[in-house]
Amino acid sequence: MGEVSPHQAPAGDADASGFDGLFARERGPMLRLAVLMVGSAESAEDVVQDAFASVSVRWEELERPGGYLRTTVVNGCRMVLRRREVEDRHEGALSGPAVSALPTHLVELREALTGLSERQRIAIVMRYFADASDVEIAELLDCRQSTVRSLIRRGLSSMRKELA
Amino acid sequence: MRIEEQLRRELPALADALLDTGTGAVAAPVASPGDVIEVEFELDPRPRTEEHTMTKTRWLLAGVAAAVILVIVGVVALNNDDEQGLDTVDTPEAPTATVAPTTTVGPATTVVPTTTPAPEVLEVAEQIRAYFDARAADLAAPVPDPDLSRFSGRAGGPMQQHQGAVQGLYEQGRAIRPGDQGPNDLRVGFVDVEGDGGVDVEASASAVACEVNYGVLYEVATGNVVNDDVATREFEILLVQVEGVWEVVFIEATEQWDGEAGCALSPTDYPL
Repeated sequence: MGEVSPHQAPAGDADASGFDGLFARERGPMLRLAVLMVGSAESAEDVVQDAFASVSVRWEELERPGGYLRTTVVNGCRMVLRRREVEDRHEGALSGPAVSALPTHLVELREALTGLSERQRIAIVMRYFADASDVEIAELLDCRQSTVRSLIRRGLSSMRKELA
Repeated sequence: MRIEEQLRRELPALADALLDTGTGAVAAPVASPGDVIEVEFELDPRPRTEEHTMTKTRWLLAGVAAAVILVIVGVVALNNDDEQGLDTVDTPEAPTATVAPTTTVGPATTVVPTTTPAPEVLEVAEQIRAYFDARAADLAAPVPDPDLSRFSGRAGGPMQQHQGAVQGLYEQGRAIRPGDQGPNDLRVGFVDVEGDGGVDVEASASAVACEVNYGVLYEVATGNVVNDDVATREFEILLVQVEGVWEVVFIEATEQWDGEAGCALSPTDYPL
């Protein structure tokens, strides 16, 4: 999809509460959230661009565009992870950028995150990066709160082993 | 440092590092590593994906639907000469597990099995085993039990769907017998018991279980083996307690691996 411009927002939204403001305020945090989930800046860029495009199209009907944006970003990340899983299964290739430039402890953290299932990874990132509650994560993953707790617990257990 | 603290401290740094070492296309104003993203989710309208078809308030109904899909997939798989079915296997004998005695569970009791599991956790785990045993016994029996008496009190919604699977096997003249290592290896993991299960429900519980299925699908008349591949599956299971009896109301295979793999390699995560 093409580059999303803040100018695609409806007229009159150039103030801080409009689309321009949302774009300026949330693009960075959304990129950081997405890159933790998908593991690559390129994929994160695509996801966030698509999410802003979706917000732009629906701007007039959204009561809380910020919330819609975040939900769209997470759903976009899930789609990327799912596609990648299929690709990896067929090609046997690992996705993601070269990480040689990262400090060792971050490489290990990234590998530990990559080793989680899609749902575990999203739950872990949402809890420990975005400070999301069980309720919020459950809504995102369309599951019960107890399942969220289970996903986080098992995710932490797996990462603890990887990082030990 | 605890893993939780490590994540809170290092995830922001990892995000920034990944963006810096990525495509270089990130020029947006990026928050500082210490910032916390405002979490505000708008759910309606929400973007729909193929996985976003359930809502919390309809989980029971959706659970039944998921169970239908699970069983249908199982029956289809059993029809396939090249693939292993989804269902469990067991000895021809009926399971002897009994329903655990009535226990009133306190409100919102989250129990993580560590060294000494709470009684209600053991009850739930026992009921899950009984469910798998009963289901496997039906599939293993050359002459399926049409009344599914083994399931009485053990499976609410999934029972009706399971009946279709049993009938399907019977009509094909097939059954599933234990493999060399037995019918299966079932381990129950995280169990979460909540006291308030809603109207007419005393308590509810969710759990995860890991099953290595050693079952052999075969033709009853000839004894010919159709499929003896080992498969591992992780299940998400929901139960409710009604009049003291735990019933499985939802079961779904969330992940699957060929051979003895995946969750089977993490026995400490499934201690029950």
